[in-house]
Amino acid sequence: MIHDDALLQKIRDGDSTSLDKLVAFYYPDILRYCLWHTPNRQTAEDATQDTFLKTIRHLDAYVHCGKFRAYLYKIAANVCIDYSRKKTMEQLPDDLQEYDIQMERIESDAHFLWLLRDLSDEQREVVLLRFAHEQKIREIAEVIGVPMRTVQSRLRSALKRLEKDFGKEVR
Amino acid sequence: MNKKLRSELQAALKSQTDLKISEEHLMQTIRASRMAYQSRRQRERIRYPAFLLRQVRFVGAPVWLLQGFLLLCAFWLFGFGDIGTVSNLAPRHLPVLLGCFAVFIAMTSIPFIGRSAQYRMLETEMATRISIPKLLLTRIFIIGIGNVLLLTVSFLLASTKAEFGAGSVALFLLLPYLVACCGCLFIQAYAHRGYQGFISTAFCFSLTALLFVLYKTAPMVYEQAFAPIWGALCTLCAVILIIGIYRLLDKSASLDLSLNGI
Repeated sequence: MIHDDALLQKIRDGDSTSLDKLVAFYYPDILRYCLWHTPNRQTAEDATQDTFLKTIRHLDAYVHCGKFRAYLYKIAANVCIDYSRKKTMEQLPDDLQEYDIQMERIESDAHFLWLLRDLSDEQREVVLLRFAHEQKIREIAEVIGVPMRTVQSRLRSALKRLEKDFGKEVR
Repeated sequence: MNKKLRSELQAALKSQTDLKISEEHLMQTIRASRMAYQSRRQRERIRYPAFLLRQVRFVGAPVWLLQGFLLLCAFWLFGFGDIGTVSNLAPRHLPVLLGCFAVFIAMTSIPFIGRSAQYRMLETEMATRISIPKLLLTRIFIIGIGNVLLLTVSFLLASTKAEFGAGSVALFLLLPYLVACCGCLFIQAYAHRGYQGFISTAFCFSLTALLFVLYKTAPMVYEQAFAPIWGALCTLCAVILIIGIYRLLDKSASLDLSLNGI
């Protein structure tokens, strides 16, 4: 278990080993998030690194009130959006192939992941943050920048849709 | 969605990203983070008192000038002259006069709180080394100093003229002031950018008109018996104002993040 408060204070005091610990601790979560939001592994790793670099550069502006994880995810979300805008046409064929291979595997493992594709971007994001990243509703609201009620509403409608579609597939 | 399906969904999503972390990339990220941190530390931050003093030139001077003008009005209305000689005003009009004056005190903040958005200066201000929430807080502080002084002077002057107690004078000043501040803050936070000043001004003038109408139609609300209600409403408005300022700063902090390109 990591204590953000103590680590952030040590980092501000100049302790670089605390910085290494912080990066090492959050790296898997952020990489997992970026893997969902970027077309391939390489881009996901680049996005992960960019997320940490931007966080470190703006660490002075961050006022810690127990929400560092949400802050980090918010930066990751913005970085992934930037990457998706930069994506070039030449990359698409490779990405699609890898994506399709992934999706084949997913489909054989679980219907849900295939059904996620039918959700809107906003609903999919909320479902991923809630179930893949185990974020609380409050944290999700901070990451995507909407009120908690909106998160709850999107989650509810996404789960209803998934349940309905899953039921249809089974029949 | 039933529990079984939820847990299957969770398991499916978590298994999908079975991470094989590249140690090489992790180390590369850690090294890059260290370098970013080192290069960040080279820059010296402006200290908050120095920043506050710099803002006085931009915000303090004009707002204090405006508040100074209101201070003169306070002396003229409540101070030097016998209130009976000011047009048709009589001491019994003091409660509504205090309320309207308090609303005008609150209105002094309108041109200055939203100036970043009004003059499209947000991006430029973001290039400074201080954050938008701190900038906003500085403006609130600078304006607040003048407002507190104005309210105090008005209270002291009016207390000498009033036929009712000092407590009532304070309530007749505070409640309209707090209601005006809460309203302007709400408008600042939620109204369309560029229209905030106009809507805030309209709101304050409406509030002034409401105070007059209340005085004409239900003058008993200004009597001593209603003091506890005024007190309770003051407390409520003070709490709402604090929450409103907190939310405005919080919202500005998110704006801060997005404008920073992060």
